[in-house]
Amino acid sequence: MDPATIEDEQSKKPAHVRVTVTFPLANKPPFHKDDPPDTTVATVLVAAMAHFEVTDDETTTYYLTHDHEKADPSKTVGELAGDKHAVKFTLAKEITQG
Amino acid sequence: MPSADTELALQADEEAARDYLDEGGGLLFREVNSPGVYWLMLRPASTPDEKYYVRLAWTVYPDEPPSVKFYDQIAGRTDVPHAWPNAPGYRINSWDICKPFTAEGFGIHPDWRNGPTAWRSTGNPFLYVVETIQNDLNSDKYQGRH
Repeated sequence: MDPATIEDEQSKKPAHVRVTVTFPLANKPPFHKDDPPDTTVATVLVAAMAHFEVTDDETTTYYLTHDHEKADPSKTVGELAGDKHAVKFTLAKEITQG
Repeated sequence: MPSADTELALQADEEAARDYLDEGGGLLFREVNSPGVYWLMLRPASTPDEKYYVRLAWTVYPDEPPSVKFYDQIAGRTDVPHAWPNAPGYRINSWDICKPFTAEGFGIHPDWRNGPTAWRSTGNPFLYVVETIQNDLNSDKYQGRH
């Protein structure tokens, strides 16, 4: 592949992925952020929990779901977004007591 | 019987729950002759050909959690093990879900009404309950059907 083609391919890559996180129990709007594609799900989780003002404790753990399944914290938003350049998560809470 | 306020609040929130289930191949029905009662059909992500049927019965919405029971079919029986998923908190010895999103769970554990396990009536609790059941079926702690 000649250098001009490589440059053209790279120029098509978006600099950011539009990340949206909803939380069904929130009394505030969804979390939105334009993140670099290499941002991990774990990083998004921390930001979303701060946005929704929730924290883990001895009985409750929060995680993100994507397409109805638990999102791997090590995956990046770029991997999950694919060609869409946008990814939507839902913040879920797991109660360990029961 | 649920109040008119409860029925109106449920109608406002049920659409989001229906849309969520539709995306995952599930369904939501309102029981026309029983206000506050809904039936869900859900599919675990690991075995999408399988179907679970759940009856949600709300009495005071959004301020109280619903009764949540698994059934072998819509309007069928709840007291059959194969109707229930094998997952933490889903109990076939008492046919209930002992977790802090059900009326049964809060009935067993009044202490859950305070602190981090307290019922939250903000946002869309209907969607929260539906998502929580689906997440439990999709969890790596789900071990199939009883």
